[in-house]
Amino acid sequence: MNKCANMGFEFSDTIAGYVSDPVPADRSFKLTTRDGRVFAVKLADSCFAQIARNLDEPYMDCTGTIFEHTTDDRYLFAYGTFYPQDGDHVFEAQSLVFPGKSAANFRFEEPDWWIKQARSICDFFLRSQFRTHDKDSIDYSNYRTQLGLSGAQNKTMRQETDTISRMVYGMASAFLLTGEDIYLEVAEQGSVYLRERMRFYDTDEKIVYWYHGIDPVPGAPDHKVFASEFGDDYFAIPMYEQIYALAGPTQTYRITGDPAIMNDISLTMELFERFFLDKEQGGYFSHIDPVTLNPLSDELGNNKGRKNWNSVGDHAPAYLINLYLATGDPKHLEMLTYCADCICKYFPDYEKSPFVQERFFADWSHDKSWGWQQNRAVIGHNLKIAWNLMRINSLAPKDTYVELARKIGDIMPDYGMDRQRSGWYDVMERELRTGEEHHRFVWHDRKAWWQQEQAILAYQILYGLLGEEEYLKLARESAAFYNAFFLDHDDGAVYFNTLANGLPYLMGTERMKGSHSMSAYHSVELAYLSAVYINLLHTGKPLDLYFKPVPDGFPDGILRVCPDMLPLERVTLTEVEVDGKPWTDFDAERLTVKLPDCTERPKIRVRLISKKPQK
Amino acid sequence: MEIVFSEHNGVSVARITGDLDGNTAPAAETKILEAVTGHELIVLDMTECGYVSSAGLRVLLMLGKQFKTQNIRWALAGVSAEVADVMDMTGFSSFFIMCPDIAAAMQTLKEQ
Repeated sequence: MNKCANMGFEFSDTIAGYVSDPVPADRSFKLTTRDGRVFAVKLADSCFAQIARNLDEPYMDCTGTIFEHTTDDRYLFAYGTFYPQDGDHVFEAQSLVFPGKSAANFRFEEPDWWIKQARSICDFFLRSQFRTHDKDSIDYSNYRTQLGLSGAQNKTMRQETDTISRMVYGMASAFLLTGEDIYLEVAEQGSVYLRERMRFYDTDEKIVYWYHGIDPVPGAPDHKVFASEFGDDYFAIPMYEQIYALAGPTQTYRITGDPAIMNDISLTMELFERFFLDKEQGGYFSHIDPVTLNPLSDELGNNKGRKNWNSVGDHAPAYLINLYLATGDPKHLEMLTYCADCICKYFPDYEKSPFVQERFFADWSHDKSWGWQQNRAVIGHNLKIAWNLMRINSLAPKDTYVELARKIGDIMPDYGMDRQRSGWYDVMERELRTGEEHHRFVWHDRKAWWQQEQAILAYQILYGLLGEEEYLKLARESAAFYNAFFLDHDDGAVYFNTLANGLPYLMGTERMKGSHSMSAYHSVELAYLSAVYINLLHTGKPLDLYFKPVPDGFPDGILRVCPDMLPLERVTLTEVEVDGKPWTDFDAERLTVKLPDCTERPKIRVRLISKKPQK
Repeated sequence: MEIVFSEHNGVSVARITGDLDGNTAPAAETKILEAVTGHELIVLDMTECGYVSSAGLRVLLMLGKQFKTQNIRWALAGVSAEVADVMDMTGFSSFFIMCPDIAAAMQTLKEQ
C-alpha cells in the first residue's frame, strides 16, 4: 500500500462538480463531485474560463465574468493543479468550462445544438473523403477507411464495408435532420457503391453477405477482401460486420424507400436467419465459416459456436429499429423482442458482477476466456443495452425490459463512470480480485467517444421515458463532458479518445478520425437521437425531419415519419410540406404521410411536436 | 457434371465436366476428396467446366482448406475466362493457383 502522505507532489487533474459557497473576493468556491466529495477551488491568477461551444462556433470566453457564472449549483469542469500543503493538497484551477450560460442552462439542450453538430461532422467527412461539397462530384473511389487527425488520407487504399456503411448512416441521418441534398446524395451513392463493390450475392443460397472490404486497384478489378482480416474474427464472417453493413443503407431506406436497398436488407437478413440463428438454443452466433457458412465449423477456432453482445444485441441499434420505423412490419418488431428477450434472459449476472456477461457458448454458458475479453466488461455495451431496451419497450412493452434498463442505469455510475471528472470509462474487469476495492481498468483509464455516446443516450432516453430527475442529471453530466472535451474545434469532427481528465489523447490509431470503428456513425447517431429525445421528450420543442422518397418506393405510398421508437401517445405530427407546399394527407397520430402520386421525387418536410414533454 | 480421375507423372488430375453449382458441388467435393487421398500433387482440370456458382466457389475453397490440412499442393487448370471473371469479381481468385492448362499446372506444382 502507498500512503496518501506519499502523494506529496504536484499533479494536475480535472474536477467536475456543482458550485457552492462562491467568494469572489477570495477568487474561490467549493465544488461538489457526483459522489458528494467537496473540493475547495482557488482560481489561479491566470485562470481563464469559457462556455462550451459547438463545432463551428467561435471560442466563447467568459474569463472576465467568472464569478457571474460560478453561482450556487452551477455545474462546471475545473482543470488545475493540486499542490501539497500542510500534509494535504490545495487545488488551483487554471481553466474552467461551463456547459451552459446559467445553472439551469445546458447549451446542448438548445433545439438545434445536435443538428448543427451532425451537420459539422458530416461536412468534415465530405471534405476528407471527397474534397467537395458539390453533390455532382462525389466519387467513392476516393473513399478511404483511414483518416488522420485532420482528415487527411494516408497511403492505405483499403475501403472497409462497415466504415462506408457507418458514414452512409451519418449522412442519411444528417439529411433527416437538415434536408440538405448533399448528405442524401452521399448516402445514396454509398448504398449503391456498397451493393456494386462490397456485396456477394450467393445465387445458390439466395442470400447476401458483405465483404470485409476492398482494395481498389486503378484500372483493374478490385482486390476483394473476402473474410475479416481482424485478429478477433480472422478468416470468418463475423455477425458484427454483417450487421454494420446494413446500418447506412437502412437509414437511407427510411428516407427513400428504394426497393434495391430493401432487397439487400432482406437477403442479408436471410443470411442471419438461415445461418447465424441458433434454432435450437436461441440467439445468433457471432461467426460463421466463410466456406461452409457453418457457425459450428472447427475452422472458426475460438469463434466456433459462440454468441456475444454484438451478435445478439447490435441488430436493434444498427439497423433493425430503423427498419421497423421505415416499414412498420410486425416481423421486425418480433425480431427486436426476440433479441431483447435473449438479452434479458441471459446477460444479467449480478450475483457475480455489476456488469452484464457479454460472451457465451452455444448453450449460453459463460465464455470467460475468449480473446481480449476474458472476464471483462465493455462499459458502453452495458449502457447500450439500457437505451435499446427502453426504445423497444416503447412499442413492445415488457416489465423485464424496463427492469434491466433501470438496473443498468442505476448501477453503472458507481462502476463505469468517472465520478471525479465525469465521462465514462472503456473496458473494466468484471470481478474484483482478492483484496481489491475497485474494479480494475483493463488497459487504461482513457475515455472513448463511442462509450460517451452510450451513456448520454442511456440517460437521455431513461429520463425522456421515465421522467426521473437523477437520469436527467446523469444525462447532463455525461453530455457536458462530451461536449466540453470531445469536439475538435481545430480540425473538425470528434476525438477518438481523451485522457481521464478530458484532454485529447492523440497517439497511434487513437489519433485518427477514420479507422475500423470510427466514421460518421456513433457521433451522428448520438446527434440524431439527442435531437429527437431532447426536443420531443424533454424540452418540448418541435422537430423537423426531411424525406425524399423514390416514386413507387414505399409500399402503398405510405411514408412513416416516426423519428424513433417513441411511445406514440407522446408525439404528434402537426405539419407536412411537399416540395415546400402544405400537404394535408397525413395521420397525425400514427405519424404517417400518404405520398402524392408523382414521377419526380418530392422532398417532404414534417414537423413533430411533443404532447407530453418532461419539462 | 462428371469427374474423371487420372494420373500423370505422380500428379493426380481430376477433370470436371459440366457445371459446378448448388446441385453438383457437394457430390463433387466428396468424390474429389475420396479420390485424391494419399496424393501430394493435385490438378483440378476445369477446361470443360463452363459455370461455377457461389456454391461451386465455396466447394473449391473448402477443397483448398482440406488439401492444406493434408499438406497437398494443388492448382486449377484451364479455368475459362468467364469463370475466372467470377473468381476475380468475388475475390476468390486470390485463394487459388490458376494455370492455363494441365502441363503448366503440373510444372507449377513441381516447382513449388
